[in-house]
Amino acid sequence: MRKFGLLIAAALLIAPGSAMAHRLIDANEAVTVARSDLAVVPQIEWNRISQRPGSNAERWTLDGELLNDVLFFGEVASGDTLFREVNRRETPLPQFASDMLLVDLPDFVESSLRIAKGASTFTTTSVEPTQFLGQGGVRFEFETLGSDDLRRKGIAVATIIDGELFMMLYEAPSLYFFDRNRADFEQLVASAHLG
Amino acid sequence: MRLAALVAAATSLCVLATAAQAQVDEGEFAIPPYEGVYQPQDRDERGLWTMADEDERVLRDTDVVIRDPALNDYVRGVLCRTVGQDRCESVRVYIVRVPIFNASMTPNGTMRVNSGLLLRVRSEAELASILGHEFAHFELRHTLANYRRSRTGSDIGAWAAVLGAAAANYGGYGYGHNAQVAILGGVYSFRRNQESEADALGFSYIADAGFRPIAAAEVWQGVMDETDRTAIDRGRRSPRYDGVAFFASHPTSMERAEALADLATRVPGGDYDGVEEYRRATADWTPRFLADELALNDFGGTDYVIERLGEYGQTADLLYARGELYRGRGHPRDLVNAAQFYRGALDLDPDLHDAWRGMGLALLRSGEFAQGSDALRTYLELAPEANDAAMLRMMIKE
Repeated sequence: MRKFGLLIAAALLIAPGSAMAHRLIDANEAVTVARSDLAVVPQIEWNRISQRPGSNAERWTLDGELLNDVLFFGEVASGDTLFREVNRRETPLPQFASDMLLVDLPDFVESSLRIAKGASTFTTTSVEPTQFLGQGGVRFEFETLGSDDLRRKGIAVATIIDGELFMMLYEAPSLYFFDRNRADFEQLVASAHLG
Repeated sequence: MRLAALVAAATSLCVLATAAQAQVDEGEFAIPPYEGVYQPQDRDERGLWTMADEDERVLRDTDVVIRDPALNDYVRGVLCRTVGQDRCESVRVYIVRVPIFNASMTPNGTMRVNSGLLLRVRSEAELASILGHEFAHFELRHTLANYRRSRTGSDIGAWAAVLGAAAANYGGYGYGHNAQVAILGGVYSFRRNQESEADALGFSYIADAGFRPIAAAEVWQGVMDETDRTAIDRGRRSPRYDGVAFFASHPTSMERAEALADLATRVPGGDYDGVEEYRRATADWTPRFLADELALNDFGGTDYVIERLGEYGQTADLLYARGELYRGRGHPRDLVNAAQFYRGALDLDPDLHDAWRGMGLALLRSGEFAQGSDALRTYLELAPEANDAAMLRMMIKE
């Protein structure tokens, strides 16, 4: 009986959660994201991953998050983390601070991605000023080596409004996928506004 | 209580070492004759080697392995000096970019050395003590003994543990790298009596090679102190050491600290440390390993690591890293301290341009706009092609 119980426990541990139903995001309709006023108007259909990566975050993908991962963060306030804690005791995530400078954001994202996604390396390749949500913002690109030993490239566009962080981030394997959907991400960024 | 005793034992090592050189038993630390190229003997051992070979094939091709020939030759050289040329031939060393203190060795002779270990050791003697200890587990074939023991347990229980480990490892915190590593984790964790055997043989290698034996105890003390500092900074008390990857497979205990202390007093050993040699050989990589460490968001632990490295001589890289650490935490007092660390770094190495950037940003964030802008202007003059130059130019124009 005890052995049977262990088997059930083992099966539960490896079974994908049944609550993982994802939602289709329709094209050409404005949709608010990340439980915030941030809204985008996608030109193609996307899938929203139902499990939120963080309390102020939302994740979209086309072919699965390992192949194209779009993250939205809205109204991230002082003391908030970008992602849900993976292990608060041993490896707590860095917290956003409202007095951070825009140029500090790449380091903040690096630390968050290394801890939450287990990236082995992270190299920021460019950091440039940009306009985002009608404000001065920062756009940076990076390269990572994931815990699955896959090289990925990423772009993030962010701004801080009244001490709250708004950010969109795209990460995909350097081989083929990053370039294939880069324009789709840029279209989302261009359509972003506060609803 | 246990912790206090442990720290007491570790600190007493240093005292004992000088006091008790007299009672040396020449035979105790004699290294057994090397048996030459070893091949697996029976079915269990062949199975274990097949798994290890498969693991090594994966490891060999991963991008997380650092290929730099100079660094690889150097680490291998220290291992060879420690265990001797003939034993050394049976080992392939892989240095992996993982910012956690750990090293491991599989039964087929694959040695994994984490970059987090290379960052934390300060001398060839300290490095040799870890590599020697791992090699001792290999020479004594401890993994095989553990594998046999684990197979005698309940099969279902074993599978539940395996499946649980695999499930927990997917998509989560990714330092495990693959499920296989997690599964083998149980096989590769060692028993207390095996630790004692490996400690004894490890000390024999160190002694024979002429390294200063107490360096071994200093490494352990450093790692335990670091864990304490991490815990204190996070507002926790009475830390146990399960959070340290190395200790997860190498149980630490009061008993072991005492045994180490005892061994260190009796082993003949030499007085070679190799501090300068170690620094020179790792100089190119230290800034990168420090940057990896900074991203771990472990203020207390990282501050301790930098401080401990500085005990053997302050460098511009260390001061710069400390500036980055304090600026990253960003309390008003941290920003003041950070600016001082950057200044110190520039005093030691005026060519460390990044220190101007750090100082400028720390000052700007403290509200000292004029001074901060000046520092950033200096940085942009020295490094006009910096990847964030456009961003910084915009910031100081405002």
